[in-house]
Amino acid sequence: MQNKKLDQLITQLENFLECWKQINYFINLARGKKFSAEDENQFLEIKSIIVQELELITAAIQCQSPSREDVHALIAGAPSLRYLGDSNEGSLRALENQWHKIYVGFQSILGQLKVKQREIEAQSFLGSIFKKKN
Amino acid sequence: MGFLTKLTPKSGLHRLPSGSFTVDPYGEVVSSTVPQWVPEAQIREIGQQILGVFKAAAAAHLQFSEIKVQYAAFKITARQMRGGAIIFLSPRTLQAISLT
Repeated sequence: MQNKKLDQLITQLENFLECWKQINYFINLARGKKFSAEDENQFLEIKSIIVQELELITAAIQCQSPSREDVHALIAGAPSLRYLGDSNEGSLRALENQWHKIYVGFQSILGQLKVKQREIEAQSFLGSIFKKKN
Repeated sequence: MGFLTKLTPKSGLHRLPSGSFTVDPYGEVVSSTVPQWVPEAQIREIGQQILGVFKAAAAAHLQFSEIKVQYAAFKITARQMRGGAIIFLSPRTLQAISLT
């Protein structure tokens, strides 16, 4: 993978993870049952961004875990804040647990990409040194 | 911040855009659910203005992570995300606008 493409992918994944963090914010909002119609709209928007971003990420890298299906299952399990607000604590905890598992999984992928980025940078640095010597 | 004038096309009548987008710390749009008829340059400009506000607030040691820009018929909500931001554009329906 080219360095520029890798940089782009890292930015994309970082952005995805920031949006993913927002899901947790909304779960907590639903738990407290203090949300407005505007929060409900924003929750829907966040999910739209996540699902679209996920397609861009999975088109660039093949990740076994967390899979596309894992993310879709979580999104499908949280249709609205009202639905989450009406859920019992056990269901919310299960959702949170699943959210966290996916979060950690994507952080791990991000770490792997950063390792690759360093490798490419080191190679290009060494390459430029050898070119100068020749 | 004349967002509304920027979003209103000079020719033809369009609805105000609804959707959201994210910008990276450099103001580049990373992802968007805003309709494609909204010029990308305008979306980028909104993003950059919002980031500018967050940066100015940080420089002034003001701790805030959310901005709401409210017009009579349009609302922009932006939330900071590690240097970048997520921005929600929401036109307000006639029912939601108070006439008082």
